Amino acid sequence: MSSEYLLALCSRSRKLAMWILLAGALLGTPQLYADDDLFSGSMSFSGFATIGLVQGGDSDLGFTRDLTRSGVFDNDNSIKQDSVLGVQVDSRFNTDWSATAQMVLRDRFDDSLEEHLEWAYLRYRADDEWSFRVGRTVVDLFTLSDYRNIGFAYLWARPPVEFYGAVIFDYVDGVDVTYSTLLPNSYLRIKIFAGESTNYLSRGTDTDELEINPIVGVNATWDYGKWSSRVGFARTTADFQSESLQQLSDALGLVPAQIWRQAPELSEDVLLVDRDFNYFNLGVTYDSHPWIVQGELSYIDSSFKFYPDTTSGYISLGYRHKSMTYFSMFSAAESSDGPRQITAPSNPPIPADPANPLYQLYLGTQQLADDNVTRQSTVSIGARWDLSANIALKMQYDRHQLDAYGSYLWATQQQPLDEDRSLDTLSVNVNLVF
Amino acid sequence: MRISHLLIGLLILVMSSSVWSEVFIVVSKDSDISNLSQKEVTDIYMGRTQSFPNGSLAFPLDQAAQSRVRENFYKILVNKTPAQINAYWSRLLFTGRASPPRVISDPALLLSAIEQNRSAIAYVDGSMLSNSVKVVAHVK
Repeated sequence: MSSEYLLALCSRSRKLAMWILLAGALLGTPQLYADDDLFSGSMSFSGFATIGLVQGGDSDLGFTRDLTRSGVFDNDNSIKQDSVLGVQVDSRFNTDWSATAQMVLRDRFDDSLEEHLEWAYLRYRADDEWSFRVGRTVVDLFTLSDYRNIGFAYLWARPPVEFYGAVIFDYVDGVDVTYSTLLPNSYLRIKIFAGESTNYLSRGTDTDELEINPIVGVNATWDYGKWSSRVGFARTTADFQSESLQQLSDALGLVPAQIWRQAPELSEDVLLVDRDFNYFNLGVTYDSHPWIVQGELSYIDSSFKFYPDTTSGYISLGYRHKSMTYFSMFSAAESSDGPRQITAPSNPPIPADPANPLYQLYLGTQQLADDNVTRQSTVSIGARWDLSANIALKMQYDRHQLDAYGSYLWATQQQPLDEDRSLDTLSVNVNLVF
Repeated sequence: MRISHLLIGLLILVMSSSVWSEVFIVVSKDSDISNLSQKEVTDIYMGRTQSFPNGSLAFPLDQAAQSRVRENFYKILVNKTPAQINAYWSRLLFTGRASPPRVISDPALLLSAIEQNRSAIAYVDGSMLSNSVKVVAHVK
């Protein structure tokens, strides 16, 4: 057993101890605090589930709900993309203090128990306006971030992949402060959060650990009658512990600048270490029975030179008729620049010979650039049928349009896509809350 | 014969669901609250505040999930179906923002909870009104 492994284990068990502590708080006897009031000190269990079938992908591109999952290829069927089971325990000790834990079981690269623990926090509500939380919560980047696992809570088969597929961190270990206030005709919430997070990201055939430390953010939501709007900003520093990136960097580092002038710079640039990302987000929902309109825009500003800045957005229109809601949606994501064009070694010029190690290195670097570009849009139509007050059946058909070298949001088996491509995805799922 | 039965049944169903009766919002007789606006009731029932306008704590109570009065109440208050109300609460509950009102399915228990707790608030239909509770608002 290597010492690194031991160290990792120690850090893990320290974290685990924290969760056990919180679980203890949850299962503690709330009666301890109970007085005559019927309402102080209570514990409640609730949950949500989705059983979903997805059909999609082709031989090159695998459909995936987000980049923390493996893809569905060859127009195959999969229940792994959307199916999820969540259970939540809320324990209210008195009017000010409460604790919540939520387990979410779904397909993940890292199947450890700790990864399935989505929430575990202690909350102190100082008054009606100020509330503080410490522990593990969801990274609140965009409108649906908080509840993207809960199919019953939104209209579509899943949150639009163009928008939510690239968000690969589920949870944050840290603190947040919420200020909410009732204004004469509206309701305002402002939230500030800070913390860290470790997740698994899949690129090509590798799955590696992505560490986000720190992540800080602020967002405000404003509900005014039929309108609800949101604006948010978050900043993260990311470290991606990728062996293949490290090998590429090491190899580039060995090439003298006299032979390949860009090699030393590329050797630095290919590493996703200590890179900052800024997330800007705007969202609007208009809900006036029978119509519901929802849209969001985001801009990801990246300092990783192999991941260009990316703009994404969606707009959805829904119409309710009895227990059916029919919807259509358009979503798109577009990197600001195309793949970074790597200048091949030119002193002396090398032959385009795949057997030449230098040429291989050049190809590998270019492929990394090609791999991280998003250029796609999707048109979706579908329906949600509320079978009862807590069960909803959804069906959705997506038509995806990808530009060459724009397949970042797809699982790829080997080479990046070098031509435009259309793909279809069919989804059926049953969603419930209990 | 069967079809006409079905039609009559459907007609009754449609009629009964389209007739919204009045819903009364009640608190304990001992409560300091005497009057609430529809907006104040909405803010309490939609989890936007945990207190009455005078600052004292408010504990909203819900009727049985399948009950007609519950369906009426939310239809009138925010024009949402029971499924939409559940979707709304799943967005708040599973994101840790707020918990839905406590459900007390038995009307007699609900009334006694109101009588005995100055912070409790509930909605009832006209048949459940009694001298032991105080009406602070009604919606229709």
